[in-house]
Amino acid sequence: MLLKDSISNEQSRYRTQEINTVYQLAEKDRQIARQNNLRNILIALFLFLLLSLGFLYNRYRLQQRNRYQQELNRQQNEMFNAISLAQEQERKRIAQDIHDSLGSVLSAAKLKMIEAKESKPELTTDEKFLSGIGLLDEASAELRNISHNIMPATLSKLGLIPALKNLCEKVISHKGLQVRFIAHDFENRADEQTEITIYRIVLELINNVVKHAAASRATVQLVKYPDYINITVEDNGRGFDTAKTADEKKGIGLGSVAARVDYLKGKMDIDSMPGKGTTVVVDIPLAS
Amino acid sequence: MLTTTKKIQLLVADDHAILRDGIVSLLQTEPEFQVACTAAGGYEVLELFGKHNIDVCLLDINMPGLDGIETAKLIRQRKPDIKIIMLTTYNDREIISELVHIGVSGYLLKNSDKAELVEAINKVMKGRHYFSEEVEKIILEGLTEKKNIEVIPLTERELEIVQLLAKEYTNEKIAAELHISYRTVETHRKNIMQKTKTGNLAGLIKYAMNKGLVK
Repeated sequence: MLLKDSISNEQSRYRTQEINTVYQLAEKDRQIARQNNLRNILIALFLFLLLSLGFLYNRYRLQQRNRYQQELNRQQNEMFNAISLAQEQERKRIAQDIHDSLGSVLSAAKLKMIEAKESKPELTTDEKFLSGIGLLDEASAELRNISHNIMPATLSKLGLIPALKNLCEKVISHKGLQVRFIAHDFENRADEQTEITIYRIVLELINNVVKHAAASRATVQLVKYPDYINITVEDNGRGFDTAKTADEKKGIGLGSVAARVDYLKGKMDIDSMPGKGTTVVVDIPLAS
Repeated sequence: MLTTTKKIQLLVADDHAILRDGIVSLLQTEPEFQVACTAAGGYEVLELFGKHNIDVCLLDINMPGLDGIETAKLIRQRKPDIKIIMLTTYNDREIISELVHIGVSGYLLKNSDKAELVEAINKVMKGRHYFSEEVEKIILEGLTEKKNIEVIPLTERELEIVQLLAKEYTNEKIAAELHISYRTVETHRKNIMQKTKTGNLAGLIKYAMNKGLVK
């Protein structure tokens, strides 16, 4: 009995111990689980922090890149401006040089030949001599054309509006296109670079009409507002699909127009439909 | 016998010595002409007027400092009796008409021969005008082409838009009717208002009715 008791005691102690152990193990498990939980949370937190840092860093880098791109664009624009300014000044110089220096020498040569003719009457019937004078005249005319194409004298001497008027008249008499030119409210001249750039914009738009539009009539209009100039060039030609890609637009000469419009910080809008003509509207802001 | 005082007193202005000398030597062979002085620029021309009694001034256009156009303007203001003959290589219509407007008596291109130069000087001394054949042609062309270039307030497209506006068309309807974009209609409307100096649609319609643009 006693033994049995002791055995059962022993057994129960053993069981208690076992229970204890199990309990302790479970407790330990729980502890481990708790620790694991904490660890997981910490890891998650850490990962979250890492991710946010990564995200922030990425955003920072994107901003940096954007800023860099903007700076690059700005520099490119400035470069383009400087180049076109230099180019136009160079054109003006070359045009004047050709016209002035070479032109004067040609005119002087002609004067000398006229003088020779005066003093030697037999020259007035000398065909070679006379054709020499004729060639000098031809050279002078050619020189005027070249100089005009580089930089029209009307533009530098009288300004944008007379130059455009002249241009439209030339198109009418040489290309057979009826161009109507209207300028509203241009009493004062704009600064030289703006005038030259606008001239080139209109020149290219008219050239486009002549080359591509197959139009019989065109209207060129410049309207001055207090803070901007509106340029509208319309034609009744065959038009085109404005959904065309930018590359194709470049092909029809609008690319260089766009670059010049950008240079003056202006806006360009092209409105066209196959068979319904084309209207190009350009707004150029004026420096106040 | 002509005395020196009866000779026509000339001033030759050109910034290129080689050309100036050429013109002078050509003119000097004419007994009734006397080249009183020469100048290489506009300011020099104006100074010389104080020292010499000039009848006719031969002016180049391209000169450093004061160019021929500005010089001609100033001569007209200060010495209205002095005749001006432009002697230049420029044959641009706007430049020619600007100078005719200023009041020059003659316009010769530098490829003119001596006979032309002599005739021009003699003619302007009699109070008449002289233009090179080529210059005359350019001026006449300008007159016949005037109607295409004339500054008329409204373009055909703008007129169409005014007429549609008078029919109470909206911008959308006008765009559809004329096969242009809404934005282009807006631009045209703005331009019409700016040109006719009308502030709103009612003002524009009133303007159009006054001018007989719409019935």
